[in-house]
Amino acid sequence: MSTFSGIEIVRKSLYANQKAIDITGHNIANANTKGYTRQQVVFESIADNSKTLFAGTSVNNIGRGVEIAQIKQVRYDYYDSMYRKEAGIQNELSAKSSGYIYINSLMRNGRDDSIGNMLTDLFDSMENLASNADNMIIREEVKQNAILFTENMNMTADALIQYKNELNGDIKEIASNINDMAYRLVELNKLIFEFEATGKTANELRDERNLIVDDLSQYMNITVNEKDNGEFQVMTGGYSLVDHYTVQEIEVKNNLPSDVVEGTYNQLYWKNAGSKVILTGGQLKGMLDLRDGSTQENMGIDYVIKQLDNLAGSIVEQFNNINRAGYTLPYSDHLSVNEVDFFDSLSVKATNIRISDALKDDVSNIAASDISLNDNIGLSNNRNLMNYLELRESSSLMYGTVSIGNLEDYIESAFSKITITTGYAQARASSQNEILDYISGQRDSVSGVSITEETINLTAYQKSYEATANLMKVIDEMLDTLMNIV
Amino acid sequence: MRITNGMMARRSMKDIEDAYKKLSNASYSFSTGKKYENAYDDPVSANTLSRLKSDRKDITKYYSNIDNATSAISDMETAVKDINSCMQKIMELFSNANNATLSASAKESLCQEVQQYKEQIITDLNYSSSGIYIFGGFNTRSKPITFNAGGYQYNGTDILSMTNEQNNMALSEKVMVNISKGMSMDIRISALELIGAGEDNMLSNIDAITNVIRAEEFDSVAFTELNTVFDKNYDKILMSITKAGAAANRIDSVKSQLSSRSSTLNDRISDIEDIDTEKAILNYKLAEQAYEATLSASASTIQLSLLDFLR
Repeated sequence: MSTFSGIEIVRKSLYANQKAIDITGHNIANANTKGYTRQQVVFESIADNSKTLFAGTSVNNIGRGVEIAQIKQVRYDYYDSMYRKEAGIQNELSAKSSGYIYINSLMRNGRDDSIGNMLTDLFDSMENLASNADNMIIREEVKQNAILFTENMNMTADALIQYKNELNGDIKEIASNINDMAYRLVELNKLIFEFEATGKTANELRDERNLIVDDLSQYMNITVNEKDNGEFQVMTGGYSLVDHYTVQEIEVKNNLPSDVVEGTYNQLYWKNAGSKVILTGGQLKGMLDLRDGSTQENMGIDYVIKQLDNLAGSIVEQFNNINRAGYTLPYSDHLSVNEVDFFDSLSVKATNIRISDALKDDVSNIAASDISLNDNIGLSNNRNLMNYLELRESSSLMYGTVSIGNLEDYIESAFSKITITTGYAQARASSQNEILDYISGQRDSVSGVSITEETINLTAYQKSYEATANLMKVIDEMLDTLMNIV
Repeated sequence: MRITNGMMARRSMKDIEDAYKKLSNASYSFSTGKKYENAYDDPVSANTLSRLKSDRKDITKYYSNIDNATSAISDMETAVKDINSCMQKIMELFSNANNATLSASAKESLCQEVQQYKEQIITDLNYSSSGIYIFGGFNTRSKPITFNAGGYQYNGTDILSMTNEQNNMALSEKVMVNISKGMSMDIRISALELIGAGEDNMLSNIDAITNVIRAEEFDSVAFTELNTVFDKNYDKILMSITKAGAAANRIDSVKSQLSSRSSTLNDRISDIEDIDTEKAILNYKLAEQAYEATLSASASTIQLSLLDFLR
């Protein structure tokens, strides 16, 4: 054992503690850095494993001080995978929830100018007309209400389709975002893999990679797999988006037809495999569902437009059937005739429903009478109008194979389905938010920086540094004394 | 569990957000008197509400129909009652005429008077309310009863020579109004129904009686016969008055039913969507306090650390 071994211990201790203070400083400096994982200094005592030459002088070897074994990231993978799973679900739900809220505001549900109320107004004015069938003012009112109703339908359907197109654009944008992220992950994979081949851990680079994976998990459901040999994979539905150094891009093809709207929409494919990307979570899934959902369970814009189309088609069919059966009022050089349309019979969609040219031309074309009125007698014949009122009460209407029931109830119930779905989606999104919050909290609890804790560590390292420095003084004095003897 | 600064900051942020959101909701309720801003905030109530509101809309619709019916029926009643009093007058005059001692000039002036009442009846039958002839069936734009040398016409068809088919056709021109769900009512009577068709029609009958009175030879047999017809015609008028009265009663009763249903509906709607002012104020105050408390708690927790106490 060397006389100067004490000085070596002091050197090592000073070095280790100074390094620990630096790490503490690094932690404090990054307390608010997004994605930062706190780092912990792991001290290790150095044992004296030398075989002593003088076996008899000492039984126990004295250790040789301290060294830093590792600067490790405090991170728990389980929370990461939990977080990514729940973040996917949360983003899907919140995308849907905010989408539904927007759809609700487009429908102006429950407000005076909602489609349902406009239809009621139209029937109300019909009812009025029934007791004064040749009153031109009331006829004009019926016409205006019909125009308001059709324009309202057109506007709402147009706004829905515009929203559908916006979502379509966003989906493409997100897909290209995901591809960018995949390439960034591959770059990081290279850096990390090469750096860690030296035996060190690439803490900051890993933080960066984790952050990107977290972001990715908000867009789509992913699973992450780091192999024992350090190769890093990101998988979705059985396909790998990132596999160590390679990326499989998501390709956007504009080839998905919609059964309610003209035109094609973006669809996602795996570029190499050629198969469709199948998602079970994430914002992208939420947006796709919102854009294409056409059933009550999976409600999306297509469903809402389909409801409006059914209503529009049914109304055009029913109104025209009634109007064609009746006779119009004679006006200027027009005779009282039957077979006149109320709505334009070729425009049976919510986007294009409109009153017929005949009705636009003159309100006399509302066929109120059941017989021809050419002798100018019996102009207030309202027998055909009574069919409109019967239509209003009818509760067993069919449109093709779709059961409509009652027209006013149909639109009312379609709207209340949307309301209920919105409320449900909102509730689910907010409870999922709680779950995600809890997991973030857990993750933060393990990996986050606590200033208080760092302060305590700092004080401990500082005291340790001071004490070591004092030790140097003691050794110095000891050696001084030894020298003076000579 | 370690508590880190990040957790603390996020927790505080979330608490403040929650409290602020509650404050915003409370403030909405407080200032509008409504429980929820959007239907989807409470889908179950929203559903009930939309059903109740559509019921209420129905009632409003029936209300306006009833108003139409009421004014139509009261117009009709006024005119028919006037016809009734004319008929009474004519009846009195006829009973005076059943007297062989009357001088020719007295007879003539009596007949003149009868004719005047008859003219009055025709005016009543051609009564128009805001431009609509109410006794004309589907013909509301021209006078239903006209007179020319050939006799009386109803909507241009000669009454004397009217076929049964024509008569039934004219009588079937009814203007129906829905006054409640599944309940409609006829708000017009046609002049034809009041005066009858064929040679026994009221107007021709009156003319026939005056002719008998005017005749130099008083034909008492014909006079009695014609008077029997007159009585029958008079009964028709009385019947119409009764009918109009009954219709008015029916409307009143339906209206009072509707109004009680509407007030029940309004109560239920208000129960669901409105909030008590006291409760709203209390909620607002509570939310305000909670918000302040959260702010002040957050302010102190996120500021302090051990560093503040180390020298």
